[in-house]
Amino acid sequence: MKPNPGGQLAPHNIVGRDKLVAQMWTTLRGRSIYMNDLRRVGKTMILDKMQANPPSGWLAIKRDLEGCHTAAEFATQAYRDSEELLSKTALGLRRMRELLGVLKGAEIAGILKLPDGTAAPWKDVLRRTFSDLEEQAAAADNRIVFLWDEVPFLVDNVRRREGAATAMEILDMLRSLSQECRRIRFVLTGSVGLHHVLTGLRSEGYGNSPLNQMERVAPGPLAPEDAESLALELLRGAGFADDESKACAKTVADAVGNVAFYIHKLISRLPKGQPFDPPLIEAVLAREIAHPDNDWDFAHYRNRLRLYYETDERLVLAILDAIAATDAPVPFEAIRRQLASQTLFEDKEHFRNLLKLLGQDHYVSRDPSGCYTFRFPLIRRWWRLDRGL
Amino acid sequence: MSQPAFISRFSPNRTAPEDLERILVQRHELLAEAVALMRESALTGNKHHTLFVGPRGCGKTHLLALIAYRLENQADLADRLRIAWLNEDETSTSFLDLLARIYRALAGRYPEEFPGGELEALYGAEPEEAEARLTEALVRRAGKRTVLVLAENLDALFKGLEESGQRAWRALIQNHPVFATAASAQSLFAGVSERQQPFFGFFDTRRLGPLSVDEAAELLRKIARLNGSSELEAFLATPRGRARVRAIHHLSGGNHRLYIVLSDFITREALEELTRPFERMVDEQLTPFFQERLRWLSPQQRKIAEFLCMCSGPVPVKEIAERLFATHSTITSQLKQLREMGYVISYPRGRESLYELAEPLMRLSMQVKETHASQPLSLLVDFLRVWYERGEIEQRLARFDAAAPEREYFVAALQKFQSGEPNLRHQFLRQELEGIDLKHCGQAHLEMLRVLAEESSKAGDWFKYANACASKGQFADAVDAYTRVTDLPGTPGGVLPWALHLRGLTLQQTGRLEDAIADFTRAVQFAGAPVEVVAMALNSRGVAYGQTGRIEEAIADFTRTIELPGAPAEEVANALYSRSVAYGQTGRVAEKIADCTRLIELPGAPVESVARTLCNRGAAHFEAGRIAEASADCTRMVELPGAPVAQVAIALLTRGLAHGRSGRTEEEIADYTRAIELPHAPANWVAASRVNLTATLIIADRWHAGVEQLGAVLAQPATPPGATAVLSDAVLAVVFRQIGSPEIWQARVVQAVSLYAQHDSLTHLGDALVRHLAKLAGSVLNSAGLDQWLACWESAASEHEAMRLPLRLLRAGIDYIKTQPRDEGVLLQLPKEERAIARQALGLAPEKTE
Repeated sequence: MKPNPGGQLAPHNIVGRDKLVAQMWTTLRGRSIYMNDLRRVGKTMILDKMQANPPSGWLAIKRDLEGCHTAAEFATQAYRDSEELLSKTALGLRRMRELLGVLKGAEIAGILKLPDGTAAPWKDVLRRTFSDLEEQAAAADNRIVFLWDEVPFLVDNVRRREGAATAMEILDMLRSLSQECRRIRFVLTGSVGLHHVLTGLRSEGYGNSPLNQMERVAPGPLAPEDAESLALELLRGAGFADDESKACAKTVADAVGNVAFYIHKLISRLPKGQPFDPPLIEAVLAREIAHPDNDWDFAHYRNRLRLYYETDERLVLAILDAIAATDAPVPFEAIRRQLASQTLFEDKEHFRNLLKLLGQDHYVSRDPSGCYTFRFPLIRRWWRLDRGL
Repeated sequence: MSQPAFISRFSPNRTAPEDLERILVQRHELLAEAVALMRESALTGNKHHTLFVGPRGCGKTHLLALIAYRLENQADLADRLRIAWLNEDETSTSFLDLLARIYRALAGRYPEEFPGGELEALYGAEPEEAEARLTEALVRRAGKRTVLVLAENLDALFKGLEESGQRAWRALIQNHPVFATAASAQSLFAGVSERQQPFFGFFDTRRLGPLSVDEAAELLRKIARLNGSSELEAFLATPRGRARVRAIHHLSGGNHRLYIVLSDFITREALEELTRPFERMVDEQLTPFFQERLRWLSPQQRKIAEFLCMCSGPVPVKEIAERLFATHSTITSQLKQLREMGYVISYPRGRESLYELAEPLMRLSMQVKETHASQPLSLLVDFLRVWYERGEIEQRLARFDAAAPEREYFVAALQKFQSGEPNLRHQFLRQELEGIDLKHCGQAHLEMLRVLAEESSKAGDWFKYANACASKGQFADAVDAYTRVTDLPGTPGGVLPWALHLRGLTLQQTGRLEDAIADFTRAVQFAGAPVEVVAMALNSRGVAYGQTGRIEEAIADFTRTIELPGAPAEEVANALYSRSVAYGQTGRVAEKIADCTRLIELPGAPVESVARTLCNRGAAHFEAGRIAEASADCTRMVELPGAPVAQVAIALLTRGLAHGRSGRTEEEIADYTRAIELPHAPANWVAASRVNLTATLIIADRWHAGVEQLGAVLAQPATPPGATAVLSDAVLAVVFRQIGSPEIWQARVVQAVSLYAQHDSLTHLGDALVRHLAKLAGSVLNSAGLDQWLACWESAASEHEAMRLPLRLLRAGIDYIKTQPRDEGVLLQLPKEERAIARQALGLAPEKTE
């Protein structure tokens, strides 16, 4: 396998997610899942893996929904996927046939139309489709999971094209479907967090919590041994067969915090045709993230603070500086003391809340002893460089 | 010459791909890798999406063309891959439009598999319907094959699609993993680099850099070869040819397209149909594009870009700010944005950064804009000035018709020559050579120095080349080059004596001492030579005289330097030092010391010279028995600020010896210890200090400390020869000194054997044991004592093979000592060779045979 940062992988090439996927299948027996984490951490790959190998008794269909711009397109896509899923069964989707008619109407393209040529009401399409699915699943004694990627983009598309109200309705529909269907489950995810879209809708009056009943899953980076294994395979795939391969694989994995995307990216940037060793790898990474025109976009972590933390920006910078400055996890009190020596800040509760938010935003993580560290060592490394720590 | 191959300088996808292969430089590895990635996309479930980023004219289309060509020629991909190369001049305003372009591209290449009728049937349909149907058709017709989409100007494509179209495209790729992508863009853009965008991190981005000089030369050679221009190809491989390419590099900025264009001017005999199409290309293709790029900028940013267009190289922020009447901070902030947008690149220089345009072709297009109608483009005029000699331009000009459009370029170039403007090629070469360290310059720079010197015939250029050769040990070339300087008619008077002196030094290095002396003499006698050179030449001649055994003449030269009015302090110091050494060689110790004293007190003498001389004088005092003076010199040396560490180590060692002579053991030990612990002290002086310290400790009967140091001495590789023997004798002496205290000396014997065995040095101990027989013979030890001595050694050492002979000799020697009167016949228990050793050790005369 050659390094493929950002590209698509065949499911058997997706490394290190077996345990997580198994856990997710277990969770899905009881509830749906909302998967959220940093961009490029591998959420789509997890969906690919789930689709490729569902356990016995499960049917899975994966769909990237960002191409849908209206509620009707979304509903049609759901119907289309359901038809495909059940294409081998004799019964098919009974209620939908009643809606669309057997010979007349039916889908011409993109949007389902009623026999009279008008667009089929999207809510109706969804309810009937899922009712049919539920019925079929019960009859066959199996379960169905919809692996929906880019749900936030879908909602945003609909908001832009059809207005906030329709977007809200889609969210409500998702919620009710996830609650009502006993044999149908959903795994929702997206490049951006749904909370970003929700924030916009809340300002327009949306008060519901569509994800309330869903299990939150944050995949995080790979386990160290899986990351090393991936790195080793990619080094060999890139033609770096060498005595130092194992040591280099570990260096790669450690340097980028075991994030698969960055493993692919770093290896793709290693110079060919010269001896390579751990110091070279470190040097290449250092050069990459220090380059003013680099495409790793770590500046995002700095730039977004003003938008999301507003008047607390300076304080948050100080907190992150304090955590980044040392390699070891930093206790709460140590951070607070350091801040106290630099600012007049004294509100301990507010400080605690900021740390919590930074955790939710994936900047930092807290270990069982209550000490804080950057969630991703690579981001800490960049932070130190950028901030001159 | 054969008909030159048509290399479409503006559209590589209209050049025969075989020719594109033949002129490929710089990117073989990248191309191979890209093809491998697309193969993997075709043959497996992994799909790669690659984006090549680089300024206009850097070879992006060339690369994409070759990717397509190589893939199409791989037989095992015939049924696995389909290529959709999107027309770069088209834009897409929607995702549907993009789908149509992809389909049309496939239909153009594979009309039977992707019939045009399928697309035509959708004309007039509702967009949503058309989009769904076209998607379905594409995916269906692709089947199990992978569709490789080749898209240029991806940033423009993204702009046209807007975010909704981008999302739709990404959804297509994710929902139907049959697509791979190879795209290009002028710079990284928000659509792929910003985290909130759909395609963030999606593409594997590879930057395409400019050509280096060597790569440019290789490109031109390949084009020459392709065109059958063997003479040109050979010329480009010569130092002169490479130097010309280096000079052009300043004009081209390493831009691939410019080199291909300029190659036409080199390879074609007739230049018709070159200049006008070139001007048209600039006017019609580049200018609108770059003007559009400039329109995207704020007024201030545009002014900065326009200013940089007029600059021939990188400029500092300060200059930009001054020229634009703006503040430093304003310009810095704008430049940061311009860099992020890909308009400028920065180069660090110390604490500042220099900036230049990222795209050399933008400068060209601005020139067109600024140039009045019918005036030749200065880039091409400059190219002619760089590439051709004046005579060549005159010859070519003579062949043109009066009305030939190219004539004006050659006329303009000739006018520049005639107006007395400096030779542009030489100017560029000198620019590149400015500031290089002649001592450490690489072969490429050395070659440039030579070419520059040969072409300019200037003494200064030959001089620099000579100095570089000398620094790199290329003495023959250096001598030759210095000779050019000395023989050139116009060599300035200030340079000539220098050249003579340096040539002399070079000759001296090669052992040609008489020739060196002759040069030094000429330098000394040169009328008007700077006193600095005269002083140096006198010193150098003195050294050469010394090397040929003419010490008195050497002393005379050094004396002249010392007495030369205005001689630099450094040279006077050198002369004093050298003269002191010469005095020392002739036994004139007093004069030697006087010179050393004078040097030490010389105002302005370099600290290294003073340090070296203090050491010398200290050693001289020591040899003469003036211990206090030796110690004082060494102390001064140790405390001299900035003294080289090697000299400090020698001084500590010498002072330690002096202390030892004076019976000041503690100070002696302290100095040796300090020398050992001196950071970065040379290994040989550390070893010598350790030996001395060991000897001192052992002789002072500080047994444990001494043994510890002895272990270090036995372990260190730099121990001076003979030192171990001396130390071993001292060990024996100190052990024997305690002969009245058996518990002590017997324990010491065991310790000594163990230590020497640990360091595989028992031979030394054994030798010392045998040598000690003489002391035993002269001691008052009785038989019982002698037996005890033997028994202890045998008990401690008999298991060691290396000690068997010494123990045999010891036994025989003791047997001899015990006989009253002394009976040499006792030694007959030993074989003849061993007897000889024993006899020698006991101080007996060699055996007489019958």
